[in-house]
Amino acid sequence: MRCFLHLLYRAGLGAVLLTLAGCIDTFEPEVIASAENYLVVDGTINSSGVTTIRLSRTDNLISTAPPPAEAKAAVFIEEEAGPRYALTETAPALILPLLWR
Amino acid sequence: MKVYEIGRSGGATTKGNATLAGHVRDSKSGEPVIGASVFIESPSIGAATDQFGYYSLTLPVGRHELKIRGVGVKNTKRQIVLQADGKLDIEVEEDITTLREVVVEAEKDKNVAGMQMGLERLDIKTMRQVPTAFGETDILRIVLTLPGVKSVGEGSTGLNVRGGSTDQNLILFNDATIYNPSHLFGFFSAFNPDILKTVELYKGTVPAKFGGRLSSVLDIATRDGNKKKFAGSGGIGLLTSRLAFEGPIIKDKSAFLLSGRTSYSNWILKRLSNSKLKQSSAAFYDLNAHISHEINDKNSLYLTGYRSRDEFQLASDSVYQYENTTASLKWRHTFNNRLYGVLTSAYSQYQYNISSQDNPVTNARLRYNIRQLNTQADFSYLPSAKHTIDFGASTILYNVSPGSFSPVGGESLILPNTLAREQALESALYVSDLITLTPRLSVSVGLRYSLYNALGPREVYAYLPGVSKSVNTITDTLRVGKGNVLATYHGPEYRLSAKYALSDKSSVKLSVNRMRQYIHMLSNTASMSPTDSWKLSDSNIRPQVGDQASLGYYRNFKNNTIETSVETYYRVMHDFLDYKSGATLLLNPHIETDVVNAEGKAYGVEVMVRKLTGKLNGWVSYTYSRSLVQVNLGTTGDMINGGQFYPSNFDKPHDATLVGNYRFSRRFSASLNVNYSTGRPITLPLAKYVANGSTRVFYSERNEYRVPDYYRADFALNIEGSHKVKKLAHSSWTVSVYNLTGRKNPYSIYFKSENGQIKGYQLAIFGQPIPTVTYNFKF
Repeated sequence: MRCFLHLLYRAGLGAVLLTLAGCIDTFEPEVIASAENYLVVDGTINSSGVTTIRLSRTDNLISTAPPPAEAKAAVFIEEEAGPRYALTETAPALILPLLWR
Repeated sequence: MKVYEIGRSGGATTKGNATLAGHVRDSKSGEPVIGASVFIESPSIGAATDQFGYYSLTLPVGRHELKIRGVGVKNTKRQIVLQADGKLDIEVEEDITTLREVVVEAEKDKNVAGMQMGLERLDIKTMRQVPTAFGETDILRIVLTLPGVKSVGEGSTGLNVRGGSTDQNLILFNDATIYNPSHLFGFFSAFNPDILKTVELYKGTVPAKFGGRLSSVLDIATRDGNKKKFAGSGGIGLLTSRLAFEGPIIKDKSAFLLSGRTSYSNWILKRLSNSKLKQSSAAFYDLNAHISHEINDKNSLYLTGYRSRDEFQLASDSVYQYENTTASLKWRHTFNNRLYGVLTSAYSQYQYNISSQDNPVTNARLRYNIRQLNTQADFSYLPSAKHTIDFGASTILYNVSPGSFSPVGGESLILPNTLAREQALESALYVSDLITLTPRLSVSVGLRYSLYNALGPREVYAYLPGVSKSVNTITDTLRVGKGNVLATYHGPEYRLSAKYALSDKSSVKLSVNRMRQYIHMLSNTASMSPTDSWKLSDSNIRPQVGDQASLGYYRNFKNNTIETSVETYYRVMHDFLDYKSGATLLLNPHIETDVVNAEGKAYGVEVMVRKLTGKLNGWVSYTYSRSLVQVNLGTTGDMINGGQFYPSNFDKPHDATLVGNYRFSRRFSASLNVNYSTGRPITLPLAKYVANGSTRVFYSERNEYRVPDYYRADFALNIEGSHKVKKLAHSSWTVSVYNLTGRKNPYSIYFKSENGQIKGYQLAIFGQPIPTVTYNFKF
């Protein structure tokens, strides 16, 4: 926590501006610190080549590690009222490209 | 005992009615006494004096005892013999003992018997008792203690009235519109308390006379000046000083009132050793001049000039300046006892400019300016005791310069960029009738018809219908010539209200009204800030329309010394502006591509208990309210939160206020002010993720979360000088502590990326108790 108000009194007469520097505290509501996460599906469907989809998880805002990868997912691409193509997981496991031919 | 004979004696009738009219004035200063009751007891007939201290009563002819009661004036009686229509001016004495006591005799039963609902009238004497941040009475902060009025947070004087945004309030200072009502980011309001007479806030039923904003009208009036002798008042505080001087120009006929206020924070900053603060500056002033002149019995003139200016630089190289300038001229003509008219002309200007001077190559200045010229004629006609008819017409000419960016200095390489001016004409006609149907039931029926024309010369874009407006969907550019109309909007605004007295002590009031607003505020922040600009409706931006229905129950206790009220309301608002994510508001030539028309609804219950007399007085209020927004235009890309209703920036469901004063003796009194409200909604970053090779932030739904609750308590001690009548000057000291508990209420919350981590911070401006001392004097 940082407070600049003491300056106001040292100056004898206060200046609003000094108080503007105000008090800064960290703001960490529960929802930000919570371990809850969301699945991130990153990629584009390439109809005439290799399609790579990366699956990962969102990470806490204060984390510095790379985002956790989502392993062992079953991923399909489905044509509207048409066939279904399964994507396969490739190693190594941190980021998981899934191939579709 | 003197008996006043009204009308010609002799051949007068002894039957029927006659109309008595005149002014009620303060015997010492000649100032009009506003809101005083003038009445007879049998039969019970009465009227309240208007803003000119004028009353008109239709009474049976014959002998009566006329009684006058008002705020801070001694109860007065006149014996009259009414024979025909006539005039009676009444001078009343100021009641010095009530200076701190606030005996509101005349207003005692106003709560129950008065027609207005959702009207808060504050007298300057009431306002002086509320403790404030820097020891100076601040009307906007006091208005914020009233039920249904909120602000988004500390250090913001933008008002959110009954779930409406800050641009939906019409702020009038002696009839001229004020666009920025605050100094120094809202720490001070832009009105010198020494010259104010009354402040009225209309938040429920807005009289047909007023229009142009959806949520409220804040009508601020200054005194007329002392018509009998020279007088002055002032105050010296830690941050500001103020002085007012007034006196007669022609005794009993005309008076002047001059006042000025300035801060000296700049002087202090320059003397600091901290180099960062040395670079900072913050200063403001405001000046007022007012002249009132009574030409004769039937004609009076009022002239007001006002200017406020702020300049600040925050340990950086950008200098912010903003100023309000207004002038108004009012001519009041009394046609006869039953009819008078007021012709008003007012000019207002608001402008700001931001200049950066850190680098000769990029030195530049951004300017914004809005001007408006109003002319209006208002008439009051009192044909009988059962009717009060108000009618009139008004017109406003707007001229906006939405932004101009220009280089400063010979070395600057900035290319000038000036957006085209916008102009518009807003006109209205209105009529309203307050009808007393039975002694218990009265209704007020009003209709206002407003017409808005956006005028050329201007270029306007046409967009592909049915899709989100963007630069890519512009289909055509239309050039509208000078004086030609590029868009027209018009419609009726109805204002209906009814009052039914259940008994002498309780009543029920109901009101329904519609308002139209043709001007919108574009703001980067949820609170009012100096860089807010105003945008006129045009062919791409529709005006706002709002409907409100409210119902209230009023009950007085203990011989009318305790007033209680419960008011509930439901509002719907159409077409106010909300912003698309990442909107650009400054220097945007096609602002319609970055804003969306939103729908809103708001509802709430306001409970208030007020004790106006006695050693212990004050009020307690509690409000439960919601304010919700929906953006669902049916065009792709223009939906917020999936087109569902979401809380507005100022949706604060629970809100409670206590304002209490206790008078220990004539010379000592203490005041306590406590505020609590739910924290305001906020959109939070929730998590981060990697997509397409870069780290991104995942945000919550708009306004899904809330900042911590707001809580603040202030305390003040007033010490009056002795009440000797023959003293050169009356003085008083105010010692106050703002934020007694030192709670760190967040002013802003922001997130910063630091070493790969995203961290949240909250900034509290008044995070500690702030003591101040102010010396006030009056001579």
